[in-house]
Amino acid sequence: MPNDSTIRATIETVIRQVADESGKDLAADFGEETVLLESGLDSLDFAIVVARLEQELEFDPFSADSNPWYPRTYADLVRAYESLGR
Amino acid sequence: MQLIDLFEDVPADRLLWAISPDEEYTASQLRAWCIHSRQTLLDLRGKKVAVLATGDFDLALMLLCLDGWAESLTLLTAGSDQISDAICASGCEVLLVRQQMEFAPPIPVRVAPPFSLNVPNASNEALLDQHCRTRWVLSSSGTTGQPKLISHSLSSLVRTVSRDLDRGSNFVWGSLYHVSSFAGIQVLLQSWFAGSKLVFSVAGVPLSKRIASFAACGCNALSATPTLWRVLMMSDHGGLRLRQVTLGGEIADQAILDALRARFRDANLVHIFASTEAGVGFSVRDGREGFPARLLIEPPNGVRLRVDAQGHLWLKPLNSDQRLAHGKQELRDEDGFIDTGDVVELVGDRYQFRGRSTGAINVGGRKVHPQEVESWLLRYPGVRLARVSAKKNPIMGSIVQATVVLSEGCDGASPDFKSGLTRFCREHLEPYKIPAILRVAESIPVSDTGKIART
Repeated sequence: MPNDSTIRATIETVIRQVADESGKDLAADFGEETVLLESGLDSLDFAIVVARLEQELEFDPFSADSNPWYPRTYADLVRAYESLGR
Repeated sequence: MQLIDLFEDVPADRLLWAISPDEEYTASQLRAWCIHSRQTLLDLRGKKVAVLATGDFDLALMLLCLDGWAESLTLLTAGSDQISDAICASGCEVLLVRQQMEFAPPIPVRVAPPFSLNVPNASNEALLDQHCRTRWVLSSSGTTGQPKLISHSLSSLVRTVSRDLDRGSNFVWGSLYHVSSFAGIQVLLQSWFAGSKLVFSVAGVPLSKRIASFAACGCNALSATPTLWRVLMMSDHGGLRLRQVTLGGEIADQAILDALRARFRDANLVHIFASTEAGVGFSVRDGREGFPARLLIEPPNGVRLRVDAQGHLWLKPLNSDQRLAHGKQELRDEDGFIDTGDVVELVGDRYQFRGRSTGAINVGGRKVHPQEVESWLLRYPGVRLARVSAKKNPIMGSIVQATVVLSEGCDGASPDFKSGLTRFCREHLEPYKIPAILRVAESIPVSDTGKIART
């Protein structure tokens, strides 16, 4: 299982990669409290991010979670992966 | 029956349509405007009219004025590149718009009067008489990507709509779908005939602002695709207090149903099944994905269901009269059932949706035909075979994935190959059609008939 810092690094790499492919700029102050859908990427971009992360990390916390919720901020997103990655 | 019949039953001061808390209009204001606009559009009486407006409120006003007035109303989708095709296919005689268009349509254009509270000649009551049983023509994307026009009567569109005006006064609907879509029409008609207030979205406004405007107008009922609900759950929706949560247009999975149940504990949670072809279908209210198998023997609201050997879901709506607006193809089989094109599978005591029989992929409510994406992949140097399919996704419902087989000597492992292919797709396809996941394989299964196997 990847550790927390690997997970966080992977998530950030994938988000930047998807932004780059879509020709979009991430918000200059992108960070923990950034609301995902106000980060410069849209819901389709985040759908791609989640699909790519499933390939990279071999799990998808949103399909596996028995208590479904949807991440609002970047910190929420990272937490979802870290809590399942442990 | 026509839309404006409601004015006879609903209190004159009932607020029916709103754009913001400062722009809310009563039944009597809409009635006066309707008389005025019919006076202005006298020459459209009995005509086949295509309507096009960017704003949902403008489009709704056109429908209010022309239902019962024009012979048929074809609802065009603003921004579609197939508008001219749809106009030609519909046989419309005139196009009604709110602003002059940039393109030159193949038929004469009329500009609709702007909405105003100061209308002259509002006393000519005879203009409210019904002139025609107007046919409503809606488009659905066909399997080849060409729009298919389906004609409905107002009475079949409102077959399942509640007309309890007392109960209706307790609900305020928000309009998240475009009014030109089948789902948008359902929300418009449902709120209208129940005498509920409907808050329209303003074109181009981001979802979070629309939700804030809905909340400010007291919105307590919303209908949206599962994808839009997921986006809403990822956004700030603090101000919304919903009593009615409706999902439609895509497969509603258990995760979104559970999340909505947890967030809106006291709301009626309903996922509906309807399509432009089959019209109003049925709704499921138990908060579980799919539908109970017993609906096949206990027709919900008189709608009969059938599942054939291939797993296709067929519907036979009660008293419906929708038909293809043009062309000889018959929508129904000899028993009156319509193939919804949805594939279902029996799991325990419920049927679960498994996708479209054409292999079409539903990406957040937008259809992608695998063949179209495959044809572009095959044009890229080095790609010998391509197979495009749906990948389940927790945000968009499904996304597009592709597997390609390369010619000898082509290095699929190099990062340049994948990024080059993705860039090529981006030049030719809309973003939601571009494969989000791209795999290189040694081979792809081919069916007995020599086609790429789709299942």
